[in-house]
Amino acid sequence: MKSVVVIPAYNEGKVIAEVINDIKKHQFNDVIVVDDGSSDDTYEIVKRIDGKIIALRHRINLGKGAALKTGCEAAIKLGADIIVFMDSDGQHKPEDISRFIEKLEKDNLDIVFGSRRIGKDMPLVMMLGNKFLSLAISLLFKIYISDTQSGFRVFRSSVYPKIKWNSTRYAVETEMIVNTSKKKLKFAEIEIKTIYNDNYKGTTIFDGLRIFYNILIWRII
Amino acid sequence: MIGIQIIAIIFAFWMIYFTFLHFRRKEFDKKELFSWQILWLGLIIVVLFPGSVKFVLEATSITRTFDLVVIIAIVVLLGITFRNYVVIKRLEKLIEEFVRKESVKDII
Repeated sequence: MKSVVVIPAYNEGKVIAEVINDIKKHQFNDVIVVDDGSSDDTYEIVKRIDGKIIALRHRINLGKGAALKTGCEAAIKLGADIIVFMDSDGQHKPEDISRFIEKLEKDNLDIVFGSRRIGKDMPLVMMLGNKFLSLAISLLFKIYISDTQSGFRVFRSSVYPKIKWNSTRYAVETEMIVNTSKKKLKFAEIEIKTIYNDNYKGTTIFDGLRIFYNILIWRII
Repeated sequence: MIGIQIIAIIFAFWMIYFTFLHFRRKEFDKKELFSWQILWLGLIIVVLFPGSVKFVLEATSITRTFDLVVIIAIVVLLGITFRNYVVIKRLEKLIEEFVRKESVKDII
């Protein structure tokens, strides 16, 4: 089974090389980095890294959802059986990838979601927002994922057409969960180690409200 | 003539000039020039001669010409906003597809 790691990156020039080298150390050599219109040298840095690292570049910033879509289409073109999504800021640990794949294959699942442990490490606003979205999705779509906003997940490339999202920005993670429920895919979640970087630039309160609005719309249509 | 009429006429002339400017830069074709100029000229006529639309006021049970202008303006604005939304959505989709195609073109 060929696994391809897809990493959407935006202005991560300072850490991207370290993130990729860390992934390579764990024997995952097929890596696609989608530079989503960075204004720094993220793309050039990835290009210089040895090995089967593929650097793709969006000429303009389209958003995380669009970058993941580009990464998936490239991974499928390369013959990937399993696609791994990871963030580019180093908050995910590559040693977890094999646990995801093992779970996916052993339990014959379609998708495995990584969930960060709710604890003192997670910022309070993020924890409350995340819980609220988990409950909203659980009530409206009968699927409970304890960490809806984690970008660390693994799925079979054959289910990509079923979970394919329209969101171009941060609602992508939520839309994947909603599609998993709608298409009745087999899923599981596993706990992952996470490092919250000081320069964390993930979802804001406004993104959270926008995601909640999207959840309501997805329920209606 | 009251202040609001003067402001409306200055605005309409300003827009006539801008519409013509866009036509001269070849950003508008003749049809667009004609449609927008009709709208601005219509506004000037209604502002200068509020009685000219008396028959519309009677037919629609609207008391004042000002109310009629406001109602028409809101309807036009909503229509334009909707059209802008559709066009922007279409452009976003086209740009996304174009950028994606360009980024993956070298993959075998």
